[in-house]
Amino acid sequence: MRFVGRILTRSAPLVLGLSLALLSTASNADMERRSLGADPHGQVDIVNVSGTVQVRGWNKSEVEVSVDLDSSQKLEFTNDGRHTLVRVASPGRKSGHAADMIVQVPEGSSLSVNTVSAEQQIKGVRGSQRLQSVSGTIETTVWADDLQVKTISGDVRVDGHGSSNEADIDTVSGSVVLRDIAGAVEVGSVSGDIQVRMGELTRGRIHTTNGTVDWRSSLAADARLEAQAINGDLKFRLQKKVDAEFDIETFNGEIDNCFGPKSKPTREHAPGRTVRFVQGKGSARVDIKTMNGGVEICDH
Amino acid sequence: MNQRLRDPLDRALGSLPRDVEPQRDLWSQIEADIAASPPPLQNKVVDLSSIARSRRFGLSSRWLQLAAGLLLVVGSSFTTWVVVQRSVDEKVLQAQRTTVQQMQPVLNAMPASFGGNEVLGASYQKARAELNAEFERRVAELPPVTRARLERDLADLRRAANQVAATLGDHPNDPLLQQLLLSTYQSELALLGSLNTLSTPTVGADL
Repeated sequence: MRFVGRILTRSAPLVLGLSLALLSTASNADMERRSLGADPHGQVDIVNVSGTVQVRGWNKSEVEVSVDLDSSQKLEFTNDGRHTLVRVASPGRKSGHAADMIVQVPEGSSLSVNTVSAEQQIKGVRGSQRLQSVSGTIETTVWADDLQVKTISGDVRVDGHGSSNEADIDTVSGSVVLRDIAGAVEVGSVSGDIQVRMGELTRGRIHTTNGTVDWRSSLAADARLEAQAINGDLKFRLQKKVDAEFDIETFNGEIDNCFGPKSKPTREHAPGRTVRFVQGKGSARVDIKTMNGGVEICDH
Repeated sequence: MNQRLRDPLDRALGSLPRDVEPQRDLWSQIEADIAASPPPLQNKVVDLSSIARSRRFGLSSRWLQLAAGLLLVVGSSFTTWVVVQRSVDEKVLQAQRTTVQQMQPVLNAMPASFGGNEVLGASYQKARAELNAEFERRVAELPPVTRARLERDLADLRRAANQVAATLGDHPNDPLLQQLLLSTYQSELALLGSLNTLSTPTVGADL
């Protein structure tokens, strides 16, 4: 009896693995797969309400879609030269089956993905990206082309390759993580926290109501960085050589400045603090304002 | 026919006497009565104090008359004012109630003033009310969890805007607060508008 138990215990992972493999095979077998020729630098629009959307850039001049649909759903997949449309539709239904979709597109494509609760994961697409979701998370990788992301409650994560581009990220309560990007960045949130680890910043604009900002970048010689918060705390680590003019002011928050000059009260008998100073040549400009949030600015 | 009716009437009128003679001479009796009557106040004792009293009373009476007139004017004016004021107050209250009822979604959506001093413009409020109405419609279509989170975030944003506006009311000349309030209002508008573009092309789409 003990022998049988030992056999069962040892074979359990194998049985589980085989079962998952069979399920996966069965699932793949249910997937609809279609492809169309496409412009290598064309526009691809993808729409899916719920489920997942995975987009992969490849070096073929075609778009291939793999998607699992139930009987109530239809796949609209069209191409008219430069523009390819991939859309899961549920005629007559407000919320359909969660469709998992994998779309492979020419890596130079410009991409637009629009979802409600579906999660988005994009890899290897080098053209511009315009990604929108209500509650689904968005993860993408970017190169030198522009990026625009909008979510309500979905979290956002962007990984760059050190190339300079323009990124515009707007969320309400989702958190934002940006890594290895460079260039111009605009980030906004209501309560979502913002974390940025980037190379050289040329233009930065950050605004949050209650979220915190944790920012690390270097500043281009003529960089402009503006940050605003109501209740959120703002923390900046400016790396490498800093040549900038700083103007930092809070109505009711503390300022911790490790560049040297200490903050002073904005006005008599009021809790607000302010500090203005020039670091190095002062060619760049940093402007930070908060109401109740604290500000921490440092070079390490 | 009228001629026929008029003739008997004329005949009846013509038959009436022209004068009526009195039965006796009344003037002789009237003259006798006048001659027999004593002249007024002829034997009356003159009381100077009563005259003074009378004069004083006369003066007081005039003052009293003047005061009564004044009182009447003031009273009637006050009565008129009360009636009118009550009517105006009721109209104002009614107008306020109506405005509040009409603007309730808007008032829920935003602070009503810019730092307590400057009322937001009508066109701004109208645009904001429209955005808010559309937002309410759109948010109802979202899954409950997302809807709850979004409503909570919008409430946070509005609370923050109210907080800044209230603080700005205490420090109306603070440029930092003005800047932050403007930015918060813009954020709210952006949030109200963003749901339109986010959910429009997907939900319930037909081929």
